Amino acid sequence: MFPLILAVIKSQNELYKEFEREALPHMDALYNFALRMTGDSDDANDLVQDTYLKAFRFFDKFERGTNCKAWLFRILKNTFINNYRKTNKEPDKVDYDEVENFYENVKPFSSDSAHLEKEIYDNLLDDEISRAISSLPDDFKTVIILSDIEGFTYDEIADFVDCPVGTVRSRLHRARKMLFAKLYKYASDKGYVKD
Amino acid sequence: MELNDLKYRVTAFVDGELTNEISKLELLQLIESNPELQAEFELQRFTKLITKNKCTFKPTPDSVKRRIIKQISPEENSFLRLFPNSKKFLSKPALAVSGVFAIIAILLFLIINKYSEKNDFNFAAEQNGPNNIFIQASTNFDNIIHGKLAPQILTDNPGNIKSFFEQNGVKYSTLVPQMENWKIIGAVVSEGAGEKFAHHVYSNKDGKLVYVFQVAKFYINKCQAAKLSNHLLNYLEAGNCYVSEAKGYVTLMKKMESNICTVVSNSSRNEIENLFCSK
Repeated sequence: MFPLILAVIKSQNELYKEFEREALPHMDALYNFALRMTGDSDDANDLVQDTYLKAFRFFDKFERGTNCKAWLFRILKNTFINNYRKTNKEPDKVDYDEVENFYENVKPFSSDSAHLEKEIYDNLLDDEISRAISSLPDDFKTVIILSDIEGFTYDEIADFVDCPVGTVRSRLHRARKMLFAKLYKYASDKGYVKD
Repeated sequence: MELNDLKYRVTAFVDGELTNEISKLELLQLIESNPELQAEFELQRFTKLITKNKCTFKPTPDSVKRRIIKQISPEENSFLRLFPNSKKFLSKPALAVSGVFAIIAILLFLIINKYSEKNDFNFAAEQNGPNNIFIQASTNFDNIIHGKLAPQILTDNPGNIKSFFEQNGVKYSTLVPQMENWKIIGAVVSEGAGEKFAHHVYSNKDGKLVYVFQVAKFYINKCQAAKLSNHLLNYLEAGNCYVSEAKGYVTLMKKMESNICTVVSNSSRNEIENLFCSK
């Protein structure tokens, strides 16, 4: 029996070491995503903890050589849907027509776009940009975070959101326009840009 | 091709996801000639840039990191993971007695096994070579204690120390915290492989010293003069504090903001852990 126990303990130790090497370095990325999805630091703490415990339990199922970060994000998403969103609120329903109307009213970039860019970039605070992202509907917020902050490919995002790559592309396109409209409005309200 | 479809392609172009080289060239020409597509390109590019560069990023709280590691570390819960139904098993009296014997046997085995196998967290044994920052910190502290290494600036003002680092070519942002019962004495800037590195020293009323060697994480294993085993680096990246004791000194490593800090002291382990690990 002892050799068997020794083998189990050794394999557990090796699994832990591999998990420590592959999965733990992504904790900050997961925490920030959790924070943006839940909007609450306590929920984000619990969500990250549940995600890691689940990931460790199923780490032997993780396909070696694939993107561990993307795998962890998928676990986080499922945990979020099952445990958190259910108790807190239904996901935001995105009215795509409304979004279309919203961003069509955005003042388009024109000949002075470089100046406009600089005004917005230099004057808006990091917190205001984070707030603008957080205020986007879930579907849009997700693709923006995964693409622009976490650097996932369209394929990885498609896998994450269970949509075709084409949908990811169009959603990202709209999400950025909507985000720009919000940033433009913040900047305009504060007098950084002139209407 | 419809304008909307072209706009979506502009988005893919900005994201580097337009794989077809010919359509990429065509699209570039269209962007240059069509003001609407040009505006679209600018908007997508700018929004991506501002999100990437200016979105706030918060580190995971240490308490959460510690809780997670505590729950998955084999040192903490080998027994529970091996025997997840142990509670149910022990609630039956007939099985409990034999269970207790089995547990004692297993614990004895685990203790023996623990001493015969390499400690999972004995990272100190992995550090070697004069360019390793763990080794450098130990050597430097030894030299400070024996009077072979003196501060290049003597001041108890953290602002002066930071300015000294900047003026002497340290390119990364440094941390010089003030700590209760400890007074800053001074600092040294060292050079290795063309880069400058920051060191500073504290003392307390009992004459104990705390020496801090901080290196921007970016340099670790990229600069020849700042080596560290990947195993330990990953451990620190995960928010852990690593502490070891040798030759009567305590060596502590922790990632603080974007720097990997190595602290060496002849004070007690508890005090050093309280000063640096609890933050």
